[in-house]
Amino acid sequence: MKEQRQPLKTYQYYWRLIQYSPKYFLTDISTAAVFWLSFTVGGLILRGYFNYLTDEDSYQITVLGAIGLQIVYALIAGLALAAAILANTSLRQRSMALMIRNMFSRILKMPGAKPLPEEKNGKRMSSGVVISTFRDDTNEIVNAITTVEDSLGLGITALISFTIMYRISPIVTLGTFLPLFIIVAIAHMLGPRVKKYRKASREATSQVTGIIADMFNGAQAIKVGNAEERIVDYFRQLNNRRQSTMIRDRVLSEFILGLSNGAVDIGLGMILFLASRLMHAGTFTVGDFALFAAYLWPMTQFMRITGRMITLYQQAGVSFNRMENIMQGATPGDVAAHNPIYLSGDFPTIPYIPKTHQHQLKHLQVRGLTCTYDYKNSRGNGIFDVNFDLHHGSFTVITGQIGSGKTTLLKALLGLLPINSGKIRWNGELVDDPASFFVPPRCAYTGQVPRLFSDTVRNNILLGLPEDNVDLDKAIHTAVLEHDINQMDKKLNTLIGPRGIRLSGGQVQRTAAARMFVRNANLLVFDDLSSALDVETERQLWDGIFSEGENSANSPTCLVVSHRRVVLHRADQIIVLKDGRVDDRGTLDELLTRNREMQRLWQVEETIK
Amino acid sequence: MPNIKNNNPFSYKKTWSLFSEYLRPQISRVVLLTILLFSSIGLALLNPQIVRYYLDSAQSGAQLDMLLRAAALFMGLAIFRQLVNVAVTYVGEKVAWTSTNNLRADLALHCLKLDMSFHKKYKPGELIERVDGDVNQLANFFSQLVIRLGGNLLLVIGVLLILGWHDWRLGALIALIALIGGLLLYELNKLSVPRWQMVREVEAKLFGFLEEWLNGTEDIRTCGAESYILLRLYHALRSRYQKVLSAMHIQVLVADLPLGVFALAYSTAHVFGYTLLRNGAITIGGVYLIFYYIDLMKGPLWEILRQVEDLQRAAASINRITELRQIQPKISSERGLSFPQGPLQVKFNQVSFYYEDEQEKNVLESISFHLEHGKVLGLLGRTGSGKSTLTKLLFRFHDVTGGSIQLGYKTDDDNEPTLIDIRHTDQDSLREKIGLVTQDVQLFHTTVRQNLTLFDNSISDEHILKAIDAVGLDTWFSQLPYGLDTKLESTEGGLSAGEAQLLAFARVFLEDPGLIILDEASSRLDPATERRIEKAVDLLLSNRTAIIIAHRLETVQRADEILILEDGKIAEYGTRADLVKDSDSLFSRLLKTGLDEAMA
Repeated sequence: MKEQRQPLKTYQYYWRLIQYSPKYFLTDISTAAVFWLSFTVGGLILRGYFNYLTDEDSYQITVLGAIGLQIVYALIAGLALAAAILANTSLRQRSMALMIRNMFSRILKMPGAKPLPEEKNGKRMSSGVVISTFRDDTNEIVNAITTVEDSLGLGITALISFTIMYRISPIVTLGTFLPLFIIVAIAHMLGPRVKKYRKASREATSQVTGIIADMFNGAQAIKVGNAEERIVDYFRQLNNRRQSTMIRDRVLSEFILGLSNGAVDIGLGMILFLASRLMHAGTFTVGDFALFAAYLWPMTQFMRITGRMITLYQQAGVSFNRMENIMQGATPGDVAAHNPIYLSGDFPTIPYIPKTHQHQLKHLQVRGLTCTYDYKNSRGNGIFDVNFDLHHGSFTVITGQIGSGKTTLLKALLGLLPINSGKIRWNGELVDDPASFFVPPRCAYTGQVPRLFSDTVRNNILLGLPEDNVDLDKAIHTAVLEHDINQMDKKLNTLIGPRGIRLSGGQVQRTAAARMFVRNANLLVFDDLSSALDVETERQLWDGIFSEGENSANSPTCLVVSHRRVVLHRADQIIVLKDGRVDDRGTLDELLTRNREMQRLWQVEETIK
Repeated sequence: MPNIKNNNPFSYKKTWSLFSEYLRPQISRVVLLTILLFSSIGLALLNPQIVRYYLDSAQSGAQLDMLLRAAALFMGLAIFRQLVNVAVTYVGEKVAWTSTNNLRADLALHCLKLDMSFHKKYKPGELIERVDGDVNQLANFFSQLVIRLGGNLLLVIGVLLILGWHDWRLGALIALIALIGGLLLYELNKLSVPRWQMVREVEAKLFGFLEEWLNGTEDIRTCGAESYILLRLYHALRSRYQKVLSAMHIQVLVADLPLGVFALAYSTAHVFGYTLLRNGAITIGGVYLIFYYIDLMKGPLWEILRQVEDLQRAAASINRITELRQIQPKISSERGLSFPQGPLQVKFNQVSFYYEDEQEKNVLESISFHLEHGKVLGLLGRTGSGKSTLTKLLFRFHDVTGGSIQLGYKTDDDNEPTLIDIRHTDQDSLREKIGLVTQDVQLFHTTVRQNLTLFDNSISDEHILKAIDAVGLDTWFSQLPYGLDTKLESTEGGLSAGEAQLLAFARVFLEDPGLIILDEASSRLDPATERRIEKAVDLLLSNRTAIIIAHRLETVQRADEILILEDGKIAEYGTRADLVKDSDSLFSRLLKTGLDEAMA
């Protein structure tokens, strides 16, 4: 993390966040200050009360006065605290929501197949890491805001308290706070060690939970291997390691807690010590003592919170760094850019682009398409210098053996992967940004492993399209999904679970196909439907697509990856890929007579079937 | 466990029996803990008395060195008390972790020893929750609850007693205020707990959505659904905001309550301090002490309420653990006969089987076949035809409900094989003699060595390396940074599907069984890996009896005999050669139409 540039200073990010919610920030910081200030009043009441009891010359508060003041004090402090908590909640939520929204919207703008940044080892950042930034880093950042506010309120309180105490007795005041300061500083310095211990205990814990998960996921393997006792022995070892790290962690935490709790006691001891002479001489009253004792708590609190604030502020710098990493090349600071987050009021409407003649495909021309992304490892080679043409209403199949670059070709064309070079022309016009160009109603795509989302079938198919403007029934029919939906208990309103877990593999594929058809796009791009569809269902699906007649203006143009014979037979044009290059192009009959690779593929298909 | 409700009442009997079982071995530590705890509370109650002595002495004009001595004593005791607290934590954690770790391990072994029918019924996630989640609750119960709750309760009672000793009305009044405050807070808690639960739910949803969307960016972009997904995000963010705000409204009351309660308590103290002093019942130091003791209750009072909630959670955990411990395996694992080295014969005699919870449906019906030692049986059939059940019966994951299964071996001096009903065998020996390779290879988050030996430390490295070479994993192995000590970090562990299969083969090699059951991978592997696997299978099957659940025609060519299952019954059984010759046989037809289509 250290090598990474931090384009903005931490406080600059905070300034943007505060500017986003100035009202809440000001309310919070002022009411928090009032709350903390009320502590000085508490001490003054006690002092006056005890002075009254011991009948000192000045600053007396009678019993009734003390009671009245206690109640007024509680009321004011209570109201201020309530206002501070509520304003703080809004401030925190607004800031977190803004940062999450900005990061997520940035991710959506990246090429679809590589939305997340690469880590140092060249691997893509996992979604889990991104989620933890969304959840934990945003939280850490707003925690720092809260401590800044508390620290400020407590700072004023501490200053006033200190002045009051100093005017009563400079010696006792200074003598009390020096050791207090040292103790709090020691506690603060132990912070990194706590973190180290915590990390070790977390790691030991995750090993334990890991092995428990393994144990029960693999119960059968363990039974078969007769390994029940052996794995539990290993489990005991991990447990013991966790035990020692945990105890170390907890004892240190308790020690630090003891330091700060003890600090108040020790402070009190110091007052007793230093005030002895003065009390003996009669210049330090019991009331003074009560006030000093009462002020110990806010003073130590101030020191603690300030220490915590420094730590949190430093951590926030690291959190902002991680966010910039996710923002991948956006203007620095955009993570806190002021965008609407709709926490209240009306939600925005989704723009709907109806299909017009300008979305009609007449001719798609691809020249010199090269894309080598993601193929640094030995499993694939990317695609090189690929040329082909698609004409309106045609059916083109891309085929080739595993690793020949079929999927890469589709993704490069659609802008889901960044291309190295190549030109794509739509009806003769050069396409600048394929990613934003090849979208409905121009083009729609179904990947090899389509992703559905935790929602109803209807919403998964529509994904925000206005239901009145589209033909949902027809899309479902074409995707051969009618029967499945009729079997579901709530039909189109059936919830499909996270990632569509409640659907079978074939149903997921066909729901994704329906999602594609409902967009009524001109160019349909499929990446291998066969893995989850049986031959008969797939045939029905193709029949449905071409039911409009091959040459009507509305009939789609298809670009399909497949090696199924049904599909190859249907093709107007087959593109054979080999090691990322176009090996040949033609109709099935032509290719079977002249192309070796095609003959080989045809044969393989034969033996498998 | 679905049948156990979360709101089971706290049962002293169950708790006590669980506690006594796991605490008895460390009774000396428990005694030490109790002594430390009482000392800490005693010190907390004693120290303020020094302040009183000091103030009174100062007021009455005592010697200066008396005051200084009192101050020193106060500070010394304060420091000592913090040290005692650290010791309480140490001993308490030690007791808690030692006992719960033992419980954890016992519980894990108990569950693993239970029948497969148990594991079929409970998802791994649930069991993890029992062995880890519930036991964690219990650890919390030991270390936090007993010490904190007990300690704080004693402290509060101590304070109230001391106040009452000064003046019983004062003690009673303060107790009443504390009680009212406590009850109010308890009621507020009841309001706030479900609200926080809602917050956790919407947060889980929010991040669950984000996770899905992050993995579906390709779909979102190509569907042109960015603005729709952002709208969904706005909805999720708003609902989090609203739930947090609603929880915070209660939180405001929770935060304000102490201010009110202590304003009342202080007011009471103001009145009593004044009157008692004027009556000469207490000194000025005594008045200060009243305030000091009230302050002392602040922390503990709220802590107690927080712990009460945890107590209920722990009670539910204790109930679930007790329940789990009472489940007993149905298949007896008493010592029985064992097998010598070498290939085994397999004999099914009219075997029928149904699952206990679906008695009306026979999964297998009258299955009879006899597989000579060293032969290979190809097992074919659609999903759900009973193939895997048949193999599971061999391991005694379930016992047959009709007929019998026998395994046989030949000894040198005896030409007739000895056949043993597997119900009369030693379970360990039985499982040692049968090897199983399934499609899904279970990997463990630990070293390569332990993944291969399945935690058997008695196997030498030399032996392991030989097995790695034999299955053709040597190239993969040579790339590992720490050799056998390399950790397989994730379930994929940097292994491809094919390599994982090979690793499973290596496991079986090390086990050296007499009978192998192979549930062949149906997913298509790349040709190079496929060849490596074929070679490993050849090696594995030499001089062993085998049952192969086949998904591909190549594999069936290896089989000496073919058995086709249909709805739990034998549809066809014979030697492969015979079945191929007979063009009417099911098997011949399968060869013609292809396995993929027929078996899909």
